[in-house]
Amino acid sequence: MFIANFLPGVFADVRNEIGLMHEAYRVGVILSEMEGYCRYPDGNGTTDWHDSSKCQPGYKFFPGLTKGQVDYLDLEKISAFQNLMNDNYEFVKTLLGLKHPDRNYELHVSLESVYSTPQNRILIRYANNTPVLDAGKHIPISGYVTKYERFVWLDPWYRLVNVVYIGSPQNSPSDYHSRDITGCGNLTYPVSFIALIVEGKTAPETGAPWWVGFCLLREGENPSSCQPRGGEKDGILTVGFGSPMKSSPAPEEYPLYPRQVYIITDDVNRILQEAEFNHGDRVEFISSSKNTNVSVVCSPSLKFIAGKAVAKLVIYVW
Amino acid sequence: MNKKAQTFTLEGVASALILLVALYTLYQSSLVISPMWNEAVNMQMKMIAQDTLKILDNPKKEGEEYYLDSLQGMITNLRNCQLGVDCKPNDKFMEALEILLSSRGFDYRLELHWVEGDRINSTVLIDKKPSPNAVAASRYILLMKNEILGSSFSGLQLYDPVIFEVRLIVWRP
Repeated sequence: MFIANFLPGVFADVRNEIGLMHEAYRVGVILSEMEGYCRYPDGNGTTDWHDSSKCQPGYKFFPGLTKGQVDYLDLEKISAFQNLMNDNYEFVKTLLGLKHPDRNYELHVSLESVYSTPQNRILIRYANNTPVLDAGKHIPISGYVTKYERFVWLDPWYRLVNVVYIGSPQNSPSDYHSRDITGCGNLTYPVSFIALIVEGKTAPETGAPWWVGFCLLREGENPSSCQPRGGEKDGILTVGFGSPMKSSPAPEEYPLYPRQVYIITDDVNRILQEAEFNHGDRVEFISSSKNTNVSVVCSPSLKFIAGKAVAKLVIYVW
Repeated sequence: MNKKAQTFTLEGVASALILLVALYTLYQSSLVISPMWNEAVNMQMKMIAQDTLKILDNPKKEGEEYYLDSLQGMITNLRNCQLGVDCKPNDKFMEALEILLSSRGFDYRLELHWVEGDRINSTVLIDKKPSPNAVAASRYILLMKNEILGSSFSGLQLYDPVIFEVRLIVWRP
């Protein structure tokens, strides 16, 4: 009986992934719960380890990514961590306790969308499309690999989205296609974040009507313009499906006000769902507007939950 | 020398070796459910539950109102329903839980606890039966009494401010 009880314990230590899980957990806690530090020879220190003006080379530092609150990550620290991983991967492993004389683990850390899956990784990207954090060794496709995930939120989030003007500079309709808009060209269903910022009328003194049409399309569909269904609707923003806009799924209408932000993510996803889009299907759009100063903001990866730009910090150790 | 005895000894050693190899192969090719392994899996679920509550806890307001999908917005918008009978979180809050938990294969139960008079009262907002491997996470939310006017909590004997404990129980079905 003693031997029967004892044997699994002996072999369990041999199983790598059991030990790996704890290593991945520890790295997750360090990165998502600690601010990090930079320590000077006189004993004083700062949490701004990423700022070269406050933490000069040669001083002892430790990387953490938060802004002083658990799961609340600082984009500046993330950027510094990405550079550190690129420049000195082995040193980071030593700092994080993944490299010591008897063990040497490999590491990959990334910031991914909440919709990301191992089969379809969706990285969080800056407005210029470069990943915010995708650092370390390439993840092997086989072997003992442990994955650990933490939900986090990012600040400042506006660096992760592009604001692009799609209004009509004159008193005549103008069309813009998502393919021509950086950050909006690779949207997939369900859309993470899309909003319209309405500044006001282009020519308020004329009293001419103003409207905005926003038509959602399947990838590769050849669009015509996106005039709101039923013709010009003065003072109305219409979001619908197809170009020209169809009556089904039912379009969504919002009254237009100057200096107003319209976060249309939920309505866009409702329309796409009713149009029978599948998870991961590419989404395009064409917008038309008349006499309106309007811009579009979109992100293929960022998701706002409870007013926070939420992402997943994903840690692989093997 | 007794050849028969020698053969028995060799046979014993050989069978012991075969048994050892078989056991080693068995434990290498199948999952060892050790306490360490369970603890690691539970810790991932616990972290997910705690992170979910942290994400949803946002005392900032969108104009005059809390975000509907925040814990504060969810509690203040429990309206036109009877606590413990038909009160459910709003759709936006449910969608947030769907994205953070359901889409990742987790099931969950949501409870709300608060002090009423001289006793602790509670209600179940999402009523599902946890499995034995479930883990729980809690978050305390502080709201002023005037913020829950018009909700299903108005009329109760509450202190000002009111402290709510939101308890999220998560498991893999």
